[in-house]
Amino acid sequence: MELTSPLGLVAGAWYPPESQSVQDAVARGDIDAATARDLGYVSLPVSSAVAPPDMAMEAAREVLLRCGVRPEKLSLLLHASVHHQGHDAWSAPHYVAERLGAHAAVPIGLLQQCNGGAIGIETAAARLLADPEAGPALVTTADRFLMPSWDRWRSDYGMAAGDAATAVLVHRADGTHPAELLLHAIGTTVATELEVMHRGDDELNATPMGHSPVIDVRRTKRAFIKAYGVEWFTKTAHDRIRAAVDLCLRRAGLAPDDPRLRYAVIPRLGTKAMDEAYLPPLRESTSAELLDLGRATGHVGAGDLNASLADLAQGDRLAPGQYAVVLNGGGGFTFTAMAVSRP
Amino acid sequence: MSANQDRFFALMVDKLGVAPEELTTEATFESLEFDSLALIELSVAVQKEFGAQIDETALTPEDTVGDVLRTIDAQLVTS
Repeated sequence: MELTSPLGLVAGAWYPPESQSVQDAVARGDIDAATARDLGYVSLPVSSAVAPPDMAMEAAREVLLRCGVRPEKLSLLLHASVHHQGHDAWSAPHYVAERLGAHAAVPIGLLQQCNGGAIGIETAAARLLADPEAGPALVTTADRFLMPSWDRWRSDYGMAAGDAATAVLVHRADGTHPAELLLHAIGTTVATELEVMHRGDDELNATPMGHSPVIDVRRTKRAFIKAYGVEWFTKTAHDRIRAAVDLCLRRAGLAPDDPRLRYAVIPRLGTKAMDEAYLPPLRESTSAELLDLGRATGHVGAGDLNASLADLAQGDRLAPGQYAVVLNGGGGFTFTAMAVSRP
Repeated sequence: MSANQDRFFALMVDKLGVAPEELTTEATFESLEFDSLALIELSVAVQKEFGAQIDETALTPEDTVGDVLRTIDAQLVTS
């Protein structure tokens, strides 16, 4: 997305107090030692007590408090998630908006798999650019991955899932609200031909969780690899990731080796999966230092990119004038790169 | 020595990128740095080359190249 002028971001994340260390997971037999090494996580946050929409509330309240935006001023509330939000045939985004007091915000749910939070920011930006009267937009993500429906260590290859919520306020950066980061450009690319990776050779059925009692992405990925091979995925992903980053940097007016470009922030997947799928194209597109912020959080569902924005917004990694390009991807597939800077 | 060993070793080298010097029947998949996805590729390659079924979900990092070779041998004898 081409932005006519930078947008302001205020970003936060909420993590539960409980977590599981990788040593504990190996000792309990939740994961074998070799796979744990390949994943490279040190721990995963676990939200036994708080449901995802309430996790999102925690992140959202903190962000609104920090920037002084009253909830009733929000024009849009976009809530992205991957897994069960706590009820069926019900809207978590409406719940978040109601509980937050965002009574003028249009609540919209995003089922974009793991790139949902990033697409939420892109959609929020489009709303702000299209409607001059629209107030700030809030993008939340929240997921928890509990048994018996999701095995956080073993439901998928190449990642383990941590429970977390994120909130990112997107505004016009016209001085009305503080901006912890400026959003300069977004590059999103699409690879819907890889949709089959998360469906495998399963038929579409009529019952939720009808394919397996525990979400089993490994099964569909095995079917995908047997039918198409790993290389097709890797080649396609490399192509689209490179294109997303190149597009983002070009739109932001940043050269691949621009001295202002301090970091290239990577998704929160397992280390080996990132080394194979994400890092090679990213390295071709920029020489910025790689920044991995996910070793103690795991992959946080729809919120990897947004959680990394929160870390950049609140930490001191970026000095004023410094940029980061933040990369993410999600099943389906879409890949998004965002260029942000410290004002 | 298994009658299928040469073909299997050639497959491991040519299709799965294993260094010939690391390839013995005693080598574990962990020592060859095979992860879960590589084991799936192994099962696909064995199916194509030998017509034998390897259940990759039953393989562990501690299993050896020889274990898979014995499975191939057994299936080819009975078929």
